[in-house]
Amino acid sequence: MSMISLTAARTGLVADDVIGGVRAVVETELAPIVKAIDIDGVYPDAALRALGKAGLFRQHLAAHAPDGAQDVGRAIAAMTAVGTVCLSTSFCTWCQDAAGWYLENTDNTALRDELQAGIASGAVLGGTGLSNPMKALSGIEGFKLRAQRAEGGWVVSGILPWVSNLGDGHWFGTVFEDAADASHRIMAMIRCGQPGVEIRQAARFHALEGTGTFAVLFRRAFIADAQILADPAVDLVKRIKAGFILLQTGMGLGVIRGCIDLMYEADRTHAETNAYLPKRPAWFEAELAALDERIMQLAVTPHESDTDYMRQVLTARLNVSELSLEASQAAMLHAGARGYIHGSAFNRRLRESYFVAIVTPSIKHLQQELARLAVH
Amino acid sequence: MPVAFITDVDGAQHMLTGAAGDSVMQIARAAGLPVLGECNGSMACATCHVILDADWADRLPPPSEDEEGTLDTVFNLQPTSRLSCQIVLDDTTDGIRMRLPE
Repeated sequence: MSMISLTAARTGLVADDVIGGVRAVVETELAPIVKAIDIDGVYPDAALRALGKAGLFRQHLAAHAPDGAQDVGRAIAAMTAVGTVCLSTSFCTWCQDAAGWYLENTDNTALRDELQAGIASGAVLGGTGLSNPMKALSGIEGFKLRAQRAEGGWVVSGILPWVSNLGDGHWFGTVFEDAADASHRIMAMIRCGQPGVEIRQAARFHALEGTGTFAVLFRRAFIADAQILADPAVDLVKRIKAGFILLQTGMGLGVIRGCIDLMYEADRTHAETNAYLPKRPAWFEAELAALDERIMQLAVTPHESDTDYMRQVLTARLNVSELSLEASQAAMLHAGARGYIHGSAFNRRLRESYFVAIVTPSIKHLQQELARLAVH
Repeated sequence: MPVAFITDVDGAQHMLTGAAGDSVMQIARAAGLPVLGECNGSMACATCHVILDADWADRLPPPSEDEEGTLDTVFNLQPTSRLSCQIVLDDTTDGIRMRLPE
């Protein structure tokens, strides 16, 4: 039984409908443009909006989920269905889901009312500028955005190097530091193109070019109090953390599933020789099923905050990265020369899997956090 | 080999050498100074911000529009602020002096 059907079996008929709807859009609207996304850097705007209509972005948002229940596990399963075919689009999905998650957990109900419905449906696209804040809060780097209090809001300066799923008019969440008190952090939703906020394409990436990834420049941008998710940010960051990390696992689970499918495909012509490879699809199937089971269990309680729960969440996320790397390498070994050709799916999966491992929280970041938890 | 002098936030001066064509960001990072250069010179982060000594500021070509736009996001911008990824070592920059921002 595949990982997707396991998940669907666990979450019932609603999940069957949702995952089935998402898979249908993936097959008709996304699969035909995967190469263009990867090679030409085409941003899958129309596919994302169609996936939004199919329910992809609303499963973890209580007010918008089909059965009125916040279900992070179902959101992960839906993201996995996308990632099985295209990591770029599942990464955009995670960005969108994270933005919805911040609004789900804010006490600013007016801001939630203004933005969340659009994000849930895909009518509004958005992302997350929390890579730097997450690293800053772990002591890995300093905050890149600093702000001074002004009448009715904050004046923010700084630059976020890479924020994804962006375009003109898209929204994203981020955290900035009070220049007068470095221990005071504020979390807000920002609109691309609002005065003082500019997005700029600055680099070409090894993979995931079609993800609407930009540097975001803040030039004394006025962020109104109405845009604030939390001030101070600390409690909200704690509330969103487990869900933020768990949601990401959908990207990696999709890559692993896709790599297993590629191994089966390679076996159609080379099974006799592939049988001598050390790790075969059946081994990955078992590992994936066990990992999926663990993640779905953790996703039931995304607001738990005790140390043991966080250790399990971080470990699951780490294991997703490790298995993604292993699966993409195994897929390439199953394929041989045809996988090594520029533009092949095997080649793309190899490049994509490294993204699962380096996107915040990266393997090294996760290992550091786990080491810290072991000390405390 | 061209030389650059960088004063850190504690006031210590570092004499760094590099090959012609290296950027100041590259040699500062290689020397372990806190010049992160996270975007590797694509002007997307400003983590290689330096402040030139006044007498060197006019001896460099003016910043490009992109460099100026990135510098404009810096909270503690100074009149002689530059991105060190855009300062290339050669005969004309040999001996250049700068300091790291607070």
